[in-house]
Amino acid sequence: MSTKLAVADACCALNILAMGREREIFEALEMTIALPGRVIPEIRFLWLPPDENNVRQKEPIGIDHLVASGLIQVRELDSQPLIDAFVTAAALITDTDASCIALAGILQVPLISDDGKERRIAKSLFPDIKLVSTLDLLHDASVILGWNERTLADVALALRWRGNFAAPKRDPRAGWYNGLLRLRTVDSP
Amino acid sequence: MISSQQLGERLADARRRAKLTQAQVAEHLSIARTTLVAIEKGERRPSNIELLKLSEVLSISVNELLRESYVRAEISPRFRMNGDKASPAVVDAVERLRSFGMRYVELDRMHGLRRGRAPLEALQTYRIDPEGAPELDSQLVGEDAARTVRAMLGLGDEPVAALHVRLESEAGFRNLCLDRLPPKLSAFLIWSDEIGACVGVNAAHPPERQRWSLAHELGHFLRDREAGDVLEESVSMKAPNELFPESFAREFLMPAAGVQKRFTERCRFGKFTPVDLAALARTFEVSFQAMTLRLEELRLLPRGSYEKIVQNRLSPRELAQTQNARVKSDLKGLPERYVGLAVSAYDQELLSESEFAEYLDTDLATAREMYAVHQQIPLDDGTQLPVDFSGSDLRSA
Repeated sequence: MSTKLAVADACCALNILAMGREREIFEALEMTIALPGRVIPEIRFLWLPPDENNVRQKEPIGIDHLVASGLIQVRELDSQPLIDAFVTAAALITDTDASCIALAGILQVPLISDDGKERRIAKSLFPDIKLVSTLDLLHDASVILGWNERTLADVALALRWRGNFAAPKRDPRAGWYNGLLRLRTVDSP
Repeated sequence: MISSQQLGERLADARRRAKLTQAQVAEHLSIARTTLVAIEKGERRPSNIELLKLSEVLSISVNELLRESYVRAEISPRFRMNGDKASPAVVDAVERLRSFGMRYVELDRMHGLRRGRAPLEALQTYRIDPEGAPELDSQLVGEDAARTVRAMLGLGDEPVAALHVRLESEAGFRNLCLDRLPPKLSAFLIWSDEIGACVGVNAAHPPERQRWSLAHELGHFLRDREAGDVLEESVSMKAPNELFPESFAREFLMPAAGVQKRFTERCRFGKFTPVDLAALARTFEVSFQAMTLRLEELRLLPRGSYEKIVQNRLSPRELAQTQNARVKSDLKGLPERYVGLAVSAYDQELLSESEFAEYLDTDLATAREMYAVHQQIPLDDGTQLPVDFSGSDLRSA
């Protein structure tokens, strides 16, 4: 089965892992994620739910299992156009974000990012780039997978708890996500 | 886009920090040394591939080399260890402090703020004059400076509360609690016109010692800030250039008149015990040892009292009381104002999430937690008020 390629930034990669259903989501969307090599060290921790003393601890995470199964590809900036695009973007934003913008822009694949600054710079350098958010992925996958509201709310809750994810104010799906959280009567992690 | 000259300067700075020669860097890039010289002078702009290799060999991000908002700070810390040869721990700490100071200025600038001259920066009376006549008594001058500064800050004879906050506003200090420091290193002061004074104190030290270190560095700030300072245990506090900051710190934190007054008050209840001594130390937020030695110096206790107390040891009950009397540290990690600026910049999309984490010197998960905490203000009724970082000026409401 051929899959669609998309580039995710470190923050979205964390969000996807936080949901705990990454394999199902990728398969439903028939998607493979490309991550620039320099992004990998940033994908380090997620949060655990609070213990009996209401203290939350971080848990180390990794993506080796997803790389092994081919759902994530680690890509290096190994061509002149990639390097040039990276250097242009790195003058405006941190190297890890710049590498994601360069990879998505040059490969002409969607960039999965929730970050306002990163999205703005990606659009300015590559006007035709397709930008996708974490909530877009969750929404589209849930439709394909036929998740009921309760399952969806559980995934949203995991994203909130484990990823400490708050929907960006300008994300059109922010209301939808917050509504899912309210279903589980949790407003904050 | 920054100029080739700016880029060359940043590359040269990074190379010097990495302690590499031009020949070594040129070899890594497979270019002639003269080519690297031209790059550092801004006469030749490196290609993008060369830039990536330079970033790798110099351990600096491409973003740091190219971003317009980068703040270049020339600092000259005074290294006294091993005959002017700084240890790796000192080099690392100074580099962290420099990087913190530069980011602090960048955050200020993102919010349209420019560094103004802090009130104590204008105090020139105690600046060292290398070409002037030698000072008669550095210790007396240090005490005089402490009294002057106390008067400027309206402290009277009272203990100094929230010292680090005062120093942020009155001296423009950018304070950082430095972790991963060897125990013998207490504090650092670096100075540049761009960033002002940055002071790093050892995060593992007790709060009383941190306060002393801050006051000591304030002494250097008044005296010879351009030289910078590394405060470490092996340096004799009786060395000529340490007499001023040490006597300054002593009088600033434990003003003679204030200590005498409170000592007398305590003596009214009868004898003056080690527990009274511990309480006095707590009042002035200094260590038990520092207060004992101060009382000895002021002839309120006999010389040798500290040794005697230590030899005799306190009774278990007394010891417990003194331990409970520990000063609570209010200096933790990054300054509240710095974190506030970073949160505000992220909220307004002036920083990406990765940059936000980088500015907070933490991982993405922790950065998100810090954002969540700072995004809301707790109200008295138990509810949370979401912060609008781009909100209007409350004074014109």
